Amino acid sequence: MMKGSKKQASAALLSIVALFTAACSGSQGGTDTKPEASKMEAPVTLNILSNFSIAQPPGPDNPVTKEFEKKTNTKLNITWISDGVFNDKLNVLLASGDLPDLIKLPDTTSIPQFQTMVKQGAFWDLTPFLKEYKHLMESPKQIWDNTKINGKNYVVPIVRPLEVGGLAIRRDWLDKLGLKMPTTMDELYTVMKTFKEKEPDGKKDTYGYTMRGNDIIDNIYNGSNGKWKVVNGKLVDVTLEPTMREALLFKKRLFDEGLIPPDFAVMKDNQYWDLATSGRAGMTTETIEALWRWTYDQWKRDPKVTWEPLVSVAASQGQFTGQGSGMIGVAAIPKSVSEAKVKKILSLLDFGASAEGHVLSNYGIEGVHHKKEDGFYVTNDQGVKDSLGPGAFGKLFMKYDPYMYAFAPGMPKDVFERNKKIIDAKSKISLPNSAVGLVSETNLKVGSDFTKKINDMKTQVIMGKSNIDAWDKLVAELKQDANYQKIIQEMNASYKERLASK
Amino acid sequence: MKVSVGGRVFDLLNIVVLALIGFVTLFPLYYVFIVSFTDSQEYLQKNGFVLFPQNWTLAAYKYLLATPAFKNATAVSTFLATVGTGLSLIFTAAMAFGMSRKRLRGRRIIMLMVLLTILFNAGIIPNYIVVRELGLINSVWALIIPVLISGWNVILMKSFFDSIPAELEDAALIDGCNDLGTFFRIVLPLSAPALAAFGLFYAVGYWNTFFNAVLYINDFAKVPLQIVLRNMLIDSETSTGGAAAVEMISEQQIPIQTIKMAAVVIASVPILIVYPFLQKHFAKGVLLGSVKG
Repeated sequence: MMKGSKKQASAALLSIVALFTAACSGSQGGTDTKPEASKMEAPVTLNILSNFSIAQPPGPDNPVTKEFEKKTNTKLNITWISDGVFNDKLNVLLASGDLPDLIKLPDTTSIPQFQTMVKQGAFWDLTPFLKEYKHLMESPKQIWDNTKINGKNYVVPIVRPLEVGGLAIRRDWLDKLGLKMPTTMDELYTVMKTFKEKEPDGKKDTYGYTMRGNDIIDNIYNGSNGKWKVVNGKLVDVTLEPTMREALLFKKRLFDEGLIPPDFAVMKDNQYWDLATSGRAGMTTETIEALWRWTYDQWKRDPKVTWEPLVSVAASQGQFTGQGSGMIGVAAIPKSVSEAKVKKILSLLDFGASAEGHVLSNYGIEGVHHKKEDGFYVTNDQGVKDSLGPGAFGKLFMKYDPYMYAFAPGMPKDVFERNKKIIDAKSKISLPNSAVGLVSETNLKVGSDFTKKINDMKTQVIMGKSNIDAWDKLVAELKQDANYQKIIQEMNASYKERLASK
Repeated sequence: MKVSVGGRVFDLLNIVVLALIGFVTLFPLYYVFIVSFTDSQEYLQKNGFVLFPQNWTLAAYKYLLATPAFKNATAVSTFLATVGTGLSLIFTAAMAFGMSRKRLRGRRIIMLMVLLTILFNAGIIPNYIVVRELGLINSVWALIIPVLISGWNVILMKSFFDSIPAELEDAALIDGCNDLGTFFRIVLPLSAPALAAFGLFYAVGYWNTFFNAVLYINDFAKVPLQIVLRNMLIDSETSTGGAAAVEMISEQQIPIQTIKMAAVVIASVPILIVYPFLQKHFAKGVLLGSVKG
């Protein structure tokens, strides 16, 4: 099935191909960009602060920026700040009160100052305005709910797919060894063990699992996406549950039998990748899109390699697959901005969430940056020069597309179709992280100390440096710890507040 | 004199150990340098293990020098390292010279004020507000003026000037020099070693400007080299981790390894070149003031 991809592969080096999905074509863009009298008005100047994550951000006379200005009758002064230093800069700007008209934030909770400022009324409550912006409202309710503060929309989420990835496995190895796709933890264990013992690539250095993002095993055992699980309308900290103990013992078994790299605890991302992409591990945790990049890279050495994402795995709590937060950040408008301008900004974001704006920010202008071929957008080098795509414009303007991560440049159609099916299957059962957007003051102050303590103990137990009794003792201590209990209470209060406002 | 066996073994051991340390230190530099000239296909084929490339190429350098962000940043950093260093030296020397002259009134108070700046720092946000109110945001001067004078360097330089005899100044005065003349025509030429040493300190500081640029410069066309470097080397690589990952197009824009290495070479070579020439003045420049004759 991977044959005949060479042509596509070489094309991928020069061109960026993207698929125009059904979801995108559903609505006609550009019909509601407030045509009334906008021709007569002078363009509104908007100062915007955004992050970017590519080598260089769009310059001031970028043709795509110009196009956005033309379509929305605005003059955009976008300050692009590199992701790595974005939070530092944001903190200084918030503290000094030096705010632009539209400010991008990583989310609603990770900058404590933002929460305080919202409570002091420093930002617009957008709830009454939003219903008029239908492209923005097309994003799933789940994502809007994730970004509410005290039940109100102070921010516009910059959307991304909800299904992001998880465990992935070497399908070609499974086939070679006559194994079927694992669906339970026991089967998963058998697969890891067989990978280790049968050495599918003929070399003796194979591990079952890289242990990258191994919290996913905890999640499967706990049946919870992250630290917090909703049980009978209350948030329960799964760290203290017996299922977490099971997960620990499972990982300890993997360690004892050499199915995972012995130094997993100190490995860096690129070391995990090296293990997986050099055929020394048969399973890892990765996003759906990045898996394709690996596969593609490995084809140079072995054209049979197939990485396939797992839909879900079950332990005692049933089939589990985790859901992403559905956003890559949020945009907020300071109270200093006039109401008329607020509407202008929202219509700009709305245009960005329309099919037309989506194409513009990701694939640029037809004829200049891309041409359409067989439903695909084929972009050229000019697109790279003009910083198109989710690394820059996509940090502000994005339409919700559940299959966005199913695709990557150069991907053959059959892989894309397979990914779409996996995403559909995931979306039926995927579990949201119930704590997204919830805050606990105590957690902001002392939470990281607890997290470190817990994680250290987990690692020690897995590596056999402490035995499981030490874990039980830590759990017993946490149950008695006043601060720890306070975090649980505050999280629950925050959760109740959210439920009440729905 | 005959060297004993033990002595020879010791020498040998020294040589071996030092050679090892030298190798360990130089190898990364060598590797970075070599990879920057390697053909990217070859780099991929050899899985990054290139000790001597078969195909030498300047492609990475050509790419970088054609990238507007990199070009601008190099210009900004060069401006900082030359103009900034020059201004810093003049201002530091002028202040230190004044403080070293006994006829200056209120020397103690000035000294105390300089010490205060070393001991206490207002912090990021007040600094930011001052720079903003001065209208320097987005200006390259925001990267020079706030760091123009380092209190520490003023004190070191003052003790250097202390060793210049007051008689020399008197003689210059008699020959018709005013204070400025004395400073520029007598004192500065006499302090060449100190200027060289402090010049290097300042130049390295300016060349490495990073955090101030993060705070004060919003326009990406005006940021110095270290910001662009960090962005190319670290930040744009993160697009494969975490949920924020997965940026379809940005993958194409991540500079490949050879380009990263070339960026590192361009960013470190100027300082590497300047260093040996100034090194000889180093010890003399910094230590002279401390030796009382």
